[in-house]
Amino acid sequence: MTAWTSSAPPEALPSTPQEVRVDPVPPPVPPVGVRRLLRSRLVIASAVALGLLVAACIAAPLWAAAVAGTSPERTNASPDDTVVVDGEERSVLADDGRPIGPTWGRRFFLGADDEGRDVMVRLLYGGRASLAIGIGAALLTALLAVPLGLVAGYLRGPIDAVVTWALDVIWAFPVVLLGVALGVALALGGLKIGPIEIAGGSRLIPLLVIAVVYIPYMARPIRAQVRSLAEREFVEAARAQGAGPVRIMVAELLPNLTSTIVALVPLLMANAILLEAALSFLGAGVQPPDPSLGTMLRDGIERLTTAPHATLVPGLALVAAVLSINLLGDGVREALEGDAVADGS
Amino acid sequence: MVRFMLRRLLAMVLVLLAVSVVVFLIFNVIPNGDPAARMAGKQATATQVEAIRREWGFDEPIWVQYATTMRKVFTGDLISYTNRLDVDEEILRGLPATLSLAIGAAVIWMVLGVAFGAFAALRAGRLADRAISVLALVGISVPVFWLGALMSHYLGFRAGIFPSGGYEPLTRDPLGWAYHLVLPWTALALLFVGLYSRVLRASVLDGLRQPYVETARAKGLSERRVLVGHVLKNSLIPIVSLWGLDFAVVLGGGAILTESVFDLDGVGQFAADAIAQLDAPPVLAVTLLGAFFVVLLGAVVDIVHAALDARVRVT
Amino acid sequence: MRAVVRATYYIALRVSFRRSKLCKAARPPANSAQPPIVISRPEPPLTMRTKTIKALAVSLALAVAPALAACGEREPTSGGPASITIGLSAQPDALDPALSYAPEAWESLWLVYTPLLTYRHAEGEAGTELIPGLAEDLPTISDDGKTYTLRLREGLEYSDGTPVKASDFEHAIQRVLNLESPGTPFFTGIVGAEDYVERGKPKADIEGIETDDDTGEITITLTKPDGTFSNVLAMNFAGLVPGDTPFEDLTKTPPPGVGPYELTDSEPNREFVLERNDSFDLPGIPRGQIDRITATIVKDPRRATEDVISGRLDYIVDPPVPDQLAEVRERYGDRFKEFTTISTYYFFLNSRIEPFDDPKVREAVNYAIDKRAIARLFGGLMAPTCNFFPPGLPGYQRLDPCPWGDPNAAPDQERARELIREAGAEGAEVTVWGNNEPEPERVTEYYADVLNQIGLDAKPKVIDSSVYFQTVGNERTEAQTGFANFFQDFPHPANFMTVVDGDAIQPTNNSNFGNVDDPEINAGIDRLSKEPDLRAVKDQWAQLDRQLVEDAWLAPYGNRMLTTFMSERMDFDRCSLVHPLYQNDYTSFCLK
Repeated sequence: MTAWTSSAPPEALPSTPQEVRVDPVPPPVPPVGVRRLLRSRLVIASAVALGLLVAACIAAPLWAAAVAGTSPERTNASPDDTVVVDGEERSVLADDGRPIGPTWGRRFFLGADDEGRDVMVRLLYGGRASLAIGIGAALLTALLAVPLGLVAGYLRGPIDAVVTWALDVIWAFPVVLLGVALGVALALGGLKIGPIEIAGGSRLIPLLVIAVVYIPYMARPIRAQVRSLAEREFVEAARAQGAGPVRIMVAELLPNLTSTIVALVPLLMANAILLEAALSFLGAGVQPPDPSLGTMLRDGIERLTTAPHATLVPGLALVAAVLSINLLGDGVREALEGDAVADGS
Repeated sequence: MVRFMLRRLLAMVLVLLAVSVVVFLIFNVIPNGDPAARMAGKQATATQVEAIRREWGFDEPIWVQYATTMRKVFTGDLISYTNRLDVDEEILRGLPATLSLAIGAAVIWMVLGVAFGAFAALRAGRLADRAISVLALVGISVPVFWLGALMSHYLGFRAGIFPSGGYEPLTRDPLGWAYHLVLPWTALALLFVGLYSRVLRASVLDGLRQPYVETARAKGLSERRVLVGHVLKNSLIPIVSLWGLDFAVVLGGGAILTESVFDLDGVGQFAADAIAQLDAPPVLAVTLLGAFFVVLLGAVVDIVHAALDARVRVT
Repeated sequence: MRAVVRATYYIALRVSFRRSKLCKAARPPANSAQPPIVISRPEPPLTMRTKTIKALAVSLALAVAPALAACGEREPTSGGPASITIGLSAQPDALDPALSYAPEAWESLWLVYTPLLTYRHAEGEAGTELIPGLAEDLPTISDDGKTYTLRLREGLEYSDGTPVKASDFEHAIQRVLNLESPGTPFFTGIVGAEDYVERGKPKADIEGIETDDDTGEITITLTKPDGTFSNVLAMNFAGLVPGDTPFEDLTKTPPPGVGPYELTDSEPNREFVLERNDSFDLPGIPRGQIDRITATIVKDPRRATEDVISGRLDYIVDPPVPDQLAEVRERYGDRFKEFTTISTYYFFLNSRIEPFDDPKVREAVNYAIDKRAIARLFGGLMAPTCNFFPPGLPGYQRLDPCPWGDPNAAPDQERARELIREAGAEGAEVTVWGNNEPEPERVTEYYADVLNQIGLDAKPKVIDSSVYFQTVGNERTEAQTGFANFFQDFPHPANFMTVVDGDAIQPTNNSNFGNVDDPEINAGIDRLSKEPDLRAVKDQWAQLDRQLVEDAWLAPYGNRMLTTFMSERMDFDRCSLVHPLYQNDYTSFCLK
């Protein structure tokens, strides 16, 4: 029904599926694309950056235990909590609560936050949470959206009508509002679906919320593509050979959607990480005391004047992570689409 | 065409209905979200809570409560549970700020997006194109609330070049209005400029490959006329459609983070405050308004598109 | 550091006090809130009140007139009537005396709707003294303590000229009860009040209130004696409004009242305006000095502070955020002060649920928390304390030595760990509840961390502040421990004791979050609350406070400090009176 499947929901997440949608018949993945992907220095750089970020986050417990000797939740608010900087003993929090800035030493390498917690340690653990939620949410979205798009696009009829309508409903919500409302409600009460029970403070809650919010951004382009693919000869041929709808969807249509999915998933990841930050910033995402880049921003912004590091550090890390994913995704997409003009130089 | 429009209209109403039910349900499952207990205050007695429950109809079956609330949305009797503000009135009061933010930012991102996109397409593959494409990616990778907070803090509070926040009504002081909105416009538009320039670049490049370009060139038209008169004109169709949808989202309280960071006191901030206080009526009303804009402009875009493109009408 | 701040604060106070004295010596007192007569007189015993008040009335009437004239004469330098703009961070819950239960609104409302009784406009303990407002005198209380008789002053008029009638009092209370105001619980002790609420009919009679418009006599009958009822009569909820005031929230069109100011304009969520009520003239209550006070809502607290620095705002109700405090203290110390409110911040320890049912665990918590650390989490705006009663509350007697160690020194975590071991509570799972306002959230996370350090397995649970108290006050939540605070509704120890009264425990909307239920304390509260003469039983109240702390029923840690921050054009030194109950007193404000 709707030709235009893409609006960029503001603030958290411009998503650009239309670039994919424009081309209803994806060209076969050219081997030349992969080679070009590897040739682009920018893509390689961003892949390396992302790899480093992930590695650093995985190593979080190592830094916490071996270098800083603390945990991400450990507060240091008392006047007796001190750290030695340049041979001088200094309080982690000043009398008025102002946290210490980067010491570039083992403890408080990147300074403390407004409760006297080690920002570096929180950054590593927080980055871990943010990346995990972003990647997990994007994958879950794909897992839910692809079957929906396939079924709706191929079967048409009432099933299509219901699915499309449901997608329209999610679509119509202001994203942040829906995310926050769901996040707050679930954080308070937890979630119970049959035998599965998720506690309110669990990180699975923001993951789930984000995944649901983004379903239409993936399901709609997939559905549109399936519709046009369904009219093509190879599907007709399969049907003539007596293949059932499930078989056609899985064996014939799905492989043809790969490039679309591969192009969309990085975008979703980037946006999911941004949305996590927005939700946590508003208190509806990751619950305290667990760190995430969003909760760190929420804490840090309270101290923007006296301790800018508490805002700048998680913010820059967030931009670095999202940007490297976006660059990588962009490279992948270009390689898949074979942008001849861009390659023409 | 009329049937198509009627169908769209019905679909719109159904979507809005579902949106309202979802919001209503979300607020009803919040544990201890009982508005009666909240309104009664910290030391309330059971009688008092009961009286409130009776008076405000919180003891009715949930579908009755839903019906009453929805009726109130349209009669303008909806009252906030935390400070008893008239919800519809507050939304109307916030609209000028929200409209100003949305329109201004939309114009900026459209103009800059088209300019950068066209430029990038012409320089496709060269350094300028690469630079624009990376900058565009940077633009969509920066969380707007973080950027906004930094802008407001460093350019507003610290440097004092711009006001750090607040809204000045256009009618009272046009210059002050624009001055107060420069930072929010920039912060919000930055996000979309990147996106739009990329969309436009893609569709210009796509257009350049179309046969009619060769035809036009063959007719001896200058490269500039070909570009502006044909390619760009055609490339604008998707971007204008996109623009309509994004504008609707920003307008419908979608810019809640930007509004809050800059303290614009618009519809979005009203919703943000309400949601922070788990105040169901304002959230319901603002969500409906936002959804209405999204659905309406979505339908407009579709209808316009259907008129332009017969293929769409068939589906 | 705590000590340093407090010292500077007291020095600042003393300096400003001395300066104001100098000013007064130089010319008639511009600040009529502190007439020299009041200060020089010793506190009269209750029975002598009448005479004193009358004497005061005469002398004030004589003193105020020239004082105001003098003020008026100085005015032309600034040109035209004096008007200021003040900032609030949010729309208050209501601007209707019957409905508002928020300190930031009370700060304005007590100047607009004077109840039958009110408090002296003075700092410190003097400000906790009840004085007649619209009543001629303090109430006559029957021997059984159940009947209160008052007489309305003659010839009173509301700001719109409507004459004040005795029956308006009953109407005001009816509005509170009928609108299900948060103030309802204070008045349900009146005979027939519960019935009235249940019937839900606005025009029904409240049995226990009899009024006579001709004589101005008002008689209130209570179901049982209540020593705090005079204080209840002085609450804003009981502020008089005309008898035809409708039974609805009048925030948008505030009704007239009797007071130094009138609310002339109210645009919810944007601004409201207090204009000086020139016809106002009541003994003991100063008239305003500023002609027009516009209160605007500035949602961003940072911007509000910046606006005071730059002079766009003349005063802000909320303190600057911790991030800005250092700068304000350092650079604008000449127009900024901090004061301690009569409030207590504490952690409730649910004595009905493991592990806090074991007194040893509760003691451990009291040993373990570092009150200096918590003060820092509040940006320094928290004065560490040992008592549950805050300083300034009648009945407060500093616990010295504090059973859990000096609140201004390092805690004894070793001892705490030991106690946890002894109690066999090592590794016990604890959910620490807190709300998401910036300071409580920080404190909750800190507290959970402390519990982990002494051997428990704690995890904070931070929920929205709008549902926080009803959540932890619901027995089904089974909240083990968490953040709590209490600001006085009126200066009476019984008011504080409502949150630790075992007889007041209820399954929902419970404000005794820790289910403190000590028969001895319950009996004490019951007995002392009935006593009309608070002064006589102060020591016994102090004893209850001591018992509460020594038995570790809860873990109090501090008294919240608030601030006065004014623009440069305000006369900060002479005209910034801080009232113990209503904080900054706008009638004291004046321009340089």
